[in-house]
Amino acid sequence: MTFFGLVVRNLWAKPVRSIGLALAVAFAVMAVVTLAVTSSGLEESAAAIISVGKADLTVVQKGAADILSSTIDKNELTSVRSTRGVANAVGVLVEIERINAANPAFIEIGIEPSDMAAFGVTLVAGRTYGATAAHEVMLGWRAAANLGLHVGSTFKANGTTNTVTGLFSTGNAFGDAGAMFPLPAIQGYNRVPGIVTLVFVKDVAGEKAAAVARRIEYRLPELTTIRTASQFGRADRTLVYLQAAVNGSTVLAILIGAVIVGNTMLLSLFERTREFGLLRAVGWTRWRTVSLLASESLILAVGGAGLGVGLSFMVATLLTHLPVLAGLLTPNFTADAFARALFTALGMTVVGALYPTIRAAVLPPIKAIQYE
Amino acid sequence: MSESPPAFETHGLTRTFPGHVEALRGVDLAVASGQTVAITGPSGCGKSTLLHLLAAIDVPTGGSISAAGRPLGEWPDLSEYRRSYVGLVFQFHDLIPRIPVSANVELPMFWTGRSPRARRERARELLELVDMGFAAHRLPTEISGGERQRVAIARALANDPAVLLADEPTGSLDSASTERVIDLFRALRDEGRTIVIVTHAVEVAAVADVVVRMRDGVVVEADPQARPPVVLGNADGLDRQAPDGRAHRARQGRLGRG
Ligand SMILES: Nc1ncnc2c1ncn2[C@@H]1O[C@H](COP(=O)(O)OP(=O)(O)OP(=O)(O)O)[C@@H](O)[C@H]1O
Ligand SMILES: [Mg+2]
Repeated sequence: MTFFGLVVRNLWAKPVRSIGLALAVAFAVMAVVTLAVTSSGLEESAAAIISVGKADLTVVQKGAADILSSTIDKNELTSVRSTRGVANAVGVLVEIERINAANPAFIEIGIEPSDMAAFGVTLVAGRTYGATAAHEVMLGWRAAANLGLHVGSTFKANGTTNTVTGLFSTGNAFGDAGAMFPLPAIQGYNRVPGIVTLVFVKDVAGEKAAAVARRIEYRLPELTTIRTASQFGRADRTLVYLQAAVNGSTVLAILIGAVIVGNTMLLSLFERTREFGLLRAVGWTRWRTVSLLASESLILAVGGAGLGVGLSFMVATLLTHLPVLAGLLTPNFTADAFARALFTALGMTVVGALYPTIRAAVLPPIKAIQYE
Repeated sequence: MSESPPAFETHGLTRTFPGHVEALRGVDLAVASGQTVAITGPSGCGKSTLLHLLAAIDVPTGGSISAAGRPLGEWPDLSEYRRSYVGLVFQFHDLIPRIPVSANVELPMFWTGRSPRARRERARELLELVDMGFAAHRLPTEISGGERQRVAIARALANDPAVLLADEPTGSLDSASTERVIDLFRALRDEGRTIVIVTHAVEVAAVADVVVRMRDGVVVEADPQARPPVVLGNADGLDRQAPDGRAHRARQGRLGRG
């Protein structure tokens, strides 16, 4: 019999307890991983707003609660435009509106018709709206398909009824599922005249984007720049808090799991005290004896982690199909989520095993042998 | 025999348990290499305690123990000592119930550098020696008490220890099972292995070269006794000669010597 065989035998001798412990670990891992993948999905869709612009860098208000509450006024936009190295800067207003149950977070972008080319927008049907037109809208081709609308249809949004003048494509799924409005019109609907949410900077005239970014941040300390998804937190505190919540709940799960693992290990230790004494008596060292107990927990933890990821996959899929959450959650299963699952499971095992392990290690063999 | 150091030598050995329980109160004992010693005495006189100290699974509160001429404190690795110098047989409860008989015999061989396969083969061999080969794959709960005891002896021999220590190995057995276990000890004795048996049973003590009587934590008598005569109830021991069984021990050389 191998050491591993011994471990498996011991686990199998108490199937209900072993499965129970693995399930406890699995549920904890499931909770943590589901939270992590859905928040990572949220982060990704927020970051997608930025990717719509296909810019070298994006300028937003520093420390905004979330990226959509960023406000940049006319003067700031002008300053960005006049920064050395900036060839082209497009200011857009971005709003999220609930259109209907199937489109709870419909994206609406206010943009000048003259900026569309630089923004990467191509007209696929109809015509572009007038720069200052009221009650005119262009729909992304995906949005049109989703909503069953076409050129000439009316589209209710922002509390007004608008005529669809044309359909566009950005080559970005997120952008193509939204609508575009004349900038002054949407600023008016939202009572933020002259304000944009983001400024997309393109063609940094052969210079390194980082250098231009530093220059903008120096001239406009109220603003910050984003070049990669990981810099997103600069502009979106909500995501930072979300990340903190995910980490906090991981720690919590580890602590709760540790109590369960620790309890189960102690129970095994008490039940099998004589047996551990026996192993010592036939020449197993303290640590080898303890490692038997620890390996049992470790196997359950790793098994539980695997099961937890599987459960999380199911739960996350289920959540995305809940009517209230449809279209809002896109779980994002990354390597990070698996690492977190393993970290959580190992964390609870290590923390939980600490006390039982020490207890088993300091147990004198004779005490164990005489234990009844 | 005179050249090799004694298998065990204790001087003024004491063991006091919490609550001033003086289980051993100064035990002086020498066990020559190759000797079979039976320890007898009334219940509570400290026999098991002494055996546990010899097996290094308990620590004396005073006095000294030497094994193979070396104080126990100077053995570099007591786990190694427990694994290879001594083999211990308990009175009962000493097989792990959820693993097969053969795996129980393998336990002392873990961490000795033997492959799982070598362990399995050795366990098989040992079980054959104690006539338990047929039960290798059974669980300890699926064999009788006497059979369990034979398995325990097989396990104690796993690493071919210099000394076999047994604590009332027949304490819970009927006479037929006791007889088989005695046969086993007799064969091991004849092979020249050092054996220390704690026993109440006269017929088990009869296997020994020396019978050590204890009372209240001290040795009161250490009688060499002749073999083979088994004189039940004989207490004088005066006309017995020192054993001269070494010659025909050599003929055996089979039990447990791998
Ligand atoms: N862990 C312990 N704590 C306190 N007292 C103990 C402990 N172990 C043994 N004793 C006491 O030490 C004395 C000797 O015990 P031991 O087990 O050595 O006796 P024994 O000769 O083996 O008896 P028996 O023939 O009944 O097995 C007894 O009085 C016993 O109660
Ligand atoms: Mg006893």
